[in-house]
Amino acid sequence: MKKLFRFYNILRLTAPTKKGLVFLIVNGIILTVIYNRFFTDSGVYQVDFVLLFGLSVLVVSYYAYIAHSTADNPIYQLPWTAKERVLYTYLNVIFVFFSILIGLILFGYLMMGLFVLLGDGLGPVTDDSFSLTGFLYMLGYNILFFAIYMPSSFYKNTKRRYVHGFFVWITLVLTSFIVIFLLNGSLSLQSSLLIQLNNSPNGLGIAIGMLILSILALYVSYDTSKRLAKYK
Amino acid sequence: MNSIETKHLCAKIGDFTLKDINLAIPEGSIVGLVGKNGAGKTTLFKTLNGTYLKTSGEMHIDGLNYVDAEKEIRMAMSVMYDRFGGNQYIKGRLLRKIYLQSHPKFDVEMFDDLIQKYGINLKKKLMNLSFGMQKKLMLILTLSLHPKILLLDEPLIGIDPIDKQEFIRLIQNYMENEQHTIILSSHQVDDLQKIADYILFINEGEIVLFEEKETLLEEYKMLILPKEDQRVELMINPTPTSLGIQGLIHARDGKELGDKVKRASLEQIFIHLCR
Repeated sequence: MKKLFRFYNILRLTAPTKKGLVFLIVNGIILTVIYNRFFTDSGVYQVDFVLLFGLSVLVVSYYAYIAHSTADNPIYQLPWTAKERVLYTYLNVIFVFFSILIGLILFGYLMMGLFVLLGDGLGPVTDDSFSLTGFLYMLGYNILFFAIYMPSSFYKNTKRRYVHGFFVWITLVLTSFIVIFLLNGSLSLQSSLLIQLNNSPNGLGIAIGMLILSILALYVSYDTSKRLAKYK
Repeated sequence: MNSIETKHLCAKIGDFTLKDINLAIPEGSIVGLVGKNGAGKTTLFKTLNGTYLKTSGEMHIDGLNYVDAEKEIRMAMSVMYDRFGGNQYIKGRLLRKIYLQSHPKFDVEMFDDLIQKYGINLKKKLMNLSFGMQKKLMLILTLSLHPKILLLDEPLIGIDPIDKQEFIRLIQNYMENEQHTIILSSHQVDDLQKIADYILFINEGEIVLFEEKETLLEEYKMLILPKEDQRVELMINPTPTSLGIQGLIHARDGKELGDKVKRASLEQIFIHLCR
């Protein structure tokens, strides 16, 4: 069981440095803005589990970039091929996300327990009904972001990395506008994309399409990352 | 068979270029790598380790190349740099756990024995260990992987004289296996003179010479001549001293000078060839 988690050693062996920090911060801000622009209605910027996944991608990518661009990083002492290093980097995103998720859920339960013990109990509970369409679309959207962003971790050339980052955002914004057009026949964002998807008869089909596209993108992404990381 | 073989190997890292590196390091040898600061010693190690990409030329490690056999090369070769390039916030015992989890050849018993022998506290974070202790830990970690080829970048810097002798002995024990090869870079040329079989001088990214140590020591001599002596022209990078002009000379040029030529140390050869 312990050996299954050896992929996590890429993160443990790498310390964060200033290198790539600006790239991380700028992309974190852009991701938050884009996400809130298309997927929330409240006018207040919010961070939820969906955005947390995106932030997990950014953080793991940042660590992976430092690890792969530092020639004396101890990961190169381990008998891993470039393919394995890439695979472990991808696995780390899922691992980090679920670790944060579990941590937050446990923290949430702890807070709830404290409120019940020490306070007047819980206030009114809002019931957000589950939407399959919304869930599938956001799953696809997150996987798409994961797929198109991750190869930037393996560029040694900083300029190419920034160019890649720029095209990630263009792709996400374009994808969202294409979906809006398919739903409405126009490009105006009158309400959150998720609400529009739920209200549209084509919403479920579009969500499934997004999921399929994102899985294909993930395959291409992994292949691209292997080519970038491989010794030439 | 050659442990490391390169033909016209070039690598460009930022502004620095390794140019036309041609090496054939026989299996079972200790190579002392000498060069000024910034000469390219660490760059050479990183290129041999596959972390810097070559721009041209060929490179074979234990008869293998990185394109087809990266895993096998990383199992066969281990590198220790002059500083720990990873996360300094982790404790030594976590590093031990990581290697145990991730490296099939990691000899945990040897590691534990050496850690206890040299009194390294694995409960401390790496950044809280002294520089010498960090070096010892890195060297022990590297040796515990039982690599066939070992690249050591300034391994003895920061280690006290008593432990230095112990480490030299460790390296010599490692070399009892005739298939093991070491390239050891050091500014402490006297140490290299004691243990190396071959000497590799590098300067400004190029190999100045690669020679058997004994041949090198026979090939060059030291000489002091009066300033007016025309034979000063035979000297390599002569320098004025209070006694006259001191310089290195090829043994063949010094034959007629008889007792005036003295045996040159490796350090003197290095200083005069790389000035």
